[in-house]
Amino acid sequence: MKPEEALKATYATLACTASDGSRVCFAASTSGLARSTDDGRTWHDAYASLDAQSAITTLAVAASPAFAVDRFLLSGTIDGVLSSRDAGTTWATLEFPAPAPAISSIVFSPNFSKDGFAFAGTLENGVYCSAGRGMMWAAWNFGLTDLNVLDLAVSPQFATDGTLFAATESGVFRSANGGRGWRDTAFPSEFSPVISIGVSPLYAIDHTLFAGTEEHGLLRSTDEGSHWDSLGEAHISGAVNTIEFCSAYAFNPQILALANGVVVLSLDGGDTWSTMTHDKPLHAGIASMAAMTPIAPDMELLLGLTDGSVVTSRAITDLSDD
Amino acid sequence: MKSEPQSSLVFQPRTHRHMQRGVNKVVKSIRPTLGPTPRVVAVDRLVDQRMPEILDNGAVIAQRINELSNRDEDAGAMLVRDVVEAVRQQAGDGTATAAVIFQHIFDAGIRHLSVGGDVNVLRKHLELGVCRIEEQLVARAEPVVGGPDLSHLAESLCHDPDMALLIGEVLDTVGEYGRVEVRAGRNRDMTREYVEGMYWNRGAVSRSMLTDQGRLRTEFIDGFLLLSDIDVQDPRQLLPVVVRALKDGVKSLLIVVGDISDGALAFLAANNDPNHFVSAVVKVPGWGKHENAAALEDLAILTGGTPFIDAAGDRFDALTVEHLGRARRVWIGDSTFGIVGGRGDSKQLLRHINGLKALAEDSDNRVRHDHLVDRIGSIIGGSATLWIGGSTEIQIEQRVEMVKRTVSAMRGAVREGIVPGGGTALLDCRLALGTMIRDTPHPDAKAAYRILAEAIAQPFRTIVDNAGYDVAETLARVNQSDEGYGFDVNTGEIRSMIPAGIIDAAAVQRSAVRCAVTAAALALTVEALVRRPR
Repeated sequence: MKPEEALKATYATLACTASDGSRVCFAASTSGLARSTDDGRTWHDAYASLDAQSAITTLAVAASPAFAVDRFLLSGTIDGVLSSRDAGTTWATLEFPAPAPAISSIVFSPNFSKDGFAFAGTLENGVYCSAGRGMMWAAWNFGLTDLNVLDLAVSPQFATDGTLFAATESGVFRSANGGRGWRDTAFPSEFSPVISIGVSPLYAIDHTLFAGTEEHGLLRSTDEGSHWDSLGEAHISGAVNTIEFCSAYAFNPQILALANGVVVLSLDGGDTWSTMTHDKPLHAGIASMAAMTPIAPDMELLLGLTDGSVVTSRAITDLSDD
Repeated sequence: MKSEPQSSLVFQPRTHRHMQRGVNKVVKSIRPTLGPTPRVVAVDRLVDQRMPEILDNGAVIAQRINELSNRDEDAGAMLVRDVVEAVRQQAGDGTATAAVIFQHIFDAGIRHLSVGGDVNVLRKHLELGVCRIEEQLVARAEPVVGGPDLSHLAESLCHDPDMALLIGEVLDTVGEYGRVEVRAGRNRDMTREYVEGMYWNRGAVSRSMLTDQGRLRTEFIDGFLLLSDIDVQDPRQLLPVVVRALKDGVKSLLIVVGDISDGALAFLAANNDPNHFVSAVVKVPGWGKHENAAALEDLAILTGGTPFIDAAGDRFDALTVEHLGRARRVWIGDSTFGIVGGRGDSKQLLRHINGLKALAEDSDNRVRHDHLVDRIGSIIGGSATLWIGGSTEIQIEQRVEMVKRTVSAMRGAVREGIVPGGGTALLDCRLALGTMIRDTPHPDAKAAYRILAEAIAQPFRTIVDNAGYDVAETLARVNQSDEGYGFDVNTGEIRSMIPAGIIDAAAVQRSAVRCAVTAAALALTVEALVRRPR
């Protein structure tokens, strides 16, 4: 199966995750979920085992933090959540309160292997929470006045601070009690909708989070959402739909973002940004992105293009450009 | 000839002396309720033969003291009653704190006046001093963060760990403006129940419209709402509604009206067809035009609908599908109706909620403030019901009252933060008053600040005394400690109070001091009592 056959969509969410030393890549789209075990060279229909009569539109896919051990995945479709316990080879439907909502994002508790918490953001029904490794889901939307959730992000210290954030059409909401109750942050309403959100890996120390908007670039708060500032206006404008952090953020505060179809990198925690260039010309705009190698000025990316195809690219930063 | 009843007059020094006796009687009955080791007050019931009410709430105890037999003393008693009631209304708790502060200021003030002090200067500086105390409390307040903090705060208010845990969890979930109902439970346990979405206390006008007759409930998925305050008397008024709904493929419609006649209801019932169009009717929530309008405004913003207002001359003839509100789920019961996932503009909703919050913060009128908080709670999404059980009816009554009081006080605490408990925060404010004493040359001003400094130590003294410790010795130990350190009456140790979970709501302490001081300062200016004939 060629990528263009697996991904006949203009929208795709990508995820790369390592298992047993090998990398598995996923591309979610309106035509389903494609899976590649050879770094994106070939793709297969991940839902083949479901024998579905029609395409299962998938908007989100996420791997368990302990994927190397448990090989557990959740995918968010327009009709609820599917799970896989074998790195995406076979999938099962999970029980959701009827009518099942359209899932826009899925996040796991960093301590998922012990606490079993996972959260699903939905396009019309707010946030659903599962405390049982995804088996049962319930809506927890107290104080979440905007139920159009476009992205979720969980604090790296979720086990102790119970904090997660929801990006919505009207701004950013914060829960400090494991998603039971939500309060709006002071996100400036003129910048909303917020379509992506990222929590600093050092959140317990720096209280920093990033919000990517649909039209107004990237904003940062260094006080848990009480105040927000626009970032990198020279390089970042328009829609910011991906925010990723370097795994060794404490030593290398590098952040990767996809802003208006351009891949940008910050080496200093978001203060300054550089545009990344690709080792080969791209035949369409970039719609989504996932890092295949650790975030660095020279790295491998999996790119979902606006024509529905998925390509790999070596991205390089000109460090003189900030 | 029958003589007219005459008014009698009481002048100083008898005025203050008699009022003081009344004040002392009421405060003496409230004082034992202060602190984590309270004692209760039994109040005789007027209307039935059941056992006395067992009370530990200063405001309720004061309320039950209707009148003292001596009318001059009664004047003093009623002053205390008003003070504690004002504190209860403003902050929900802190009534005993206010009572002991009031008593001290009144007593010490009378002593100062008896040696030639100027009452107006004294009053002015008492009021200046209380401003400084309030500033100090605000500056010392720390925000309440998360469930454990809330539970600690609840425990400092209700002194019941299980109850505190439950209240902490509920308020952490629904938030400071969230809707919390407290009801008497059916067994000995305390439990809670959460309801998703928004709901109002108005049920279906006719039970026959409820499809689930077992649960007395109807549910519309992707339902529409027609919002209005129009009185529908003639079924023909609803004809354009039904025609429009059928034309535009509206499958389910909740109709909100001012009132509706049986004939109009029968018309809707006749047109209900589960395969094509079903409807249910509720009356517009709220009492009176003002509350009705507010409920319609909230519903319109939540669902994106346009209300039809009778006073504006609106009629359903002009109805289009764009006028209808929409929600992911609409449910109607026999006494309530609610929506989940209203399809209104979420940005507008957020602005509306923030506007209501600002109005509530600025509102001096308690009734208006409570109504605004209710509105915010209704539309913010989600509510909790606490079912409070107990072994006996009396215990349930007492616990329900305690939970209501605690929840009310905690809303203020979440807004203004927490301060060290056990009277410690007020003790720490003495330092600022000491500076004021040094900085003023006027003897009456010095006296006012000294009186205040002693008065704000009274809650601490009372708590220690109620727990059976030596007050002077304990106060000396605390005076030698750093700020924020106080006396834990449960362990008998000096501790840093906030980390130890011994906390008070800043709003409660501020309100108690403010009400007590201003009322006592005013009471000191009373020169004569007039006994009017009854």
